[in-house]
Amino acid sequence: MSIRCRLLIACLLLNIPMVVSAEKMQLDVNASFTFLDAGGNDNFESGKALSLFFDYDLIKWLALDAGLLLSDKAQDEVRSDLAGTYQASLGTRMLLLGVKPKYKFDGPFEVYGRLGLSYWYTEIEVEEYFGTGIPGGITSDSDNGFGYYINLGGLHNITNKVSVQLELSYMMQPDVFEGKSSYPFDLSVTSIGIGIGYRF
Amino acid sequence: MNPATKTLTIVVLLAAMTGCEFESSNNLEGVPDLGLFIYLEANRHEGNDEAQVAAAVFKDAQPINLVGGDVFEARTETNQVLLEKNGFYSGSYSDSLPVNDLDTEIAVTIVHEPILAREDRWYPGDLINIDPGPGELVGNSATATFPPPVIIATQLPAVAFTSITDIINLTWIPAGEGDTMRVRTATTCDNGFNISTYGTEVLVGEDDGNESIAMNNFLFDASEEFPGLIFLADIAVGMLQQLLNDLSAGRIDPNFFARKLPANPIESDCEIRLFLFRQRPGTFDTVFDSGSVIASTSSELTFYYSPN
Repeated sequence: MSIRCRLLIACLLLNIPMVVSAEKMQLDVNASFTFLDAGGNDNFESGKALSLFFDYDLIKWLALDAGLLLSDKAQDEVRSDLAGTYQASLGTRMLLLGVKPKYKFDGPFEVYGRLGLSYWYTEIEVEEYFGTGIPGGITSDSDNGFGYYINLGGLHNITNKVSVQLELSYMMQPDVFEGKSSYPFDLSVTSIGIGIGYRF
Repeated sequence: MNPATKTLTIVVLLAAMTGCEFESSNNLEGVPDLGLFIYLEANRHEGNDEAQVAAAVFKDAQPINLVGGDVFEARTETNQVLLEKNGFYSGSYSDSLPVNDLDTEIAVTIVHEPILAREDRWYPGDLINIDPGPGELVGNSATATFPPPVIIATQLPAVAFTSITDIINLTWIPAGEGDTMRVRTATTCDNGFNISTYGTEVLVGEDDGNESIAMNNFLFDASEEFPGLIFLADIAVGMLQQLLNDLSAGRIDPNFFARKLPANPIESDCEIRLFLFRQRPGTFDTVFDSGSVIASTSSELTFYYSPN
């Protein structure tokens, strides 16, 4: 199956009404370092993520933006408290849908933003130890919901079809585990990434 | 003076004379080498709506860490709190328990609260946890009754004391219930260049409402071989440190009683915070072989010493 067909199917799955026009589409692939903040006494080490964006130009300066982000599990510090010693790690995946305003300079440079809603799936894994003779172990749980994302980037067109880009991203997942737990939290994912864009 | 006290005094004096910092231990003394020992101390200070509570369990002189959700719960008739902070002594736990006038008895029980013990975690500890179940000490407790509040009636002179032989006439309203009275001080001395902080204890004895105490029970000449006062030690250090922490909202030196003595007290201007305690022993479950269980009430009097 060709890339174009795969993108078309992906867009249909994302329920994006569109008329495919070969010159109006762009595919971006970014590799990022992520910085997670759960709003409490967490202190995650940086993680890594891969994101894929498909853009469809609605007008000259505005495109429809759909994307997917996959992050590896970022680990919090090893901590000790009243109950024992523990380490938590958190991984997330997001489907993104929004708009991408952009401005093309006279030269090969372009700046753009992304703004939209996300559907996220987040999993927490916790390893707990209590000392000699008391069994510890690993446990995990997950939640999903809706959030939003705001990105800012700049790109350099290498050819008419290929560009390289640098992108900053802020994604918010509010009320993770709301309704399941008495201790829900807001998760923000800030990232900085580089990537390649392909227009077709 | 018994040999142990004499040795301790000499060590303190040598440290003071050489300007060294006296290393104090945070191990609870008096814990027997064998058996299960429980330590509980709870104090209500005058005008304070919280009681300071500290507890620990030792097995063969080693503190037992409560883990997996096992935790000390301090409870009165109207309030309860989990002892979630590390206490002054290794392996001890402490916290402040809200109290009101109706609260006369305090019970500390080891409970299994796997969720509450994790509530300071950033993730949902009620949803994601490994619960090993209650430990073998869960359900055991110690209980003590707060004695009547201490009401100090001393009228202080308008000026500072000038000699360590001066006498302070400490008076209070006796409760007449056979409790033990203790005077403990937290003293800060400033010679203009250095500051010394330390604590002393005076054995008052009976709750008769009157005690004349010479200032040399609180102040001393660091150049003398045997100062003849009793430095604060053992369980009293932890409770007074916790009380000072609460009264100062945590702004007190956490090692106030470590006997840092760069300024010779007799030659310095000193602030003496005198705490009068009324103490009452409590009881503990038979699972424990021995213990130190005390509930107390206290009140404070501050006076000054200026040799010039």
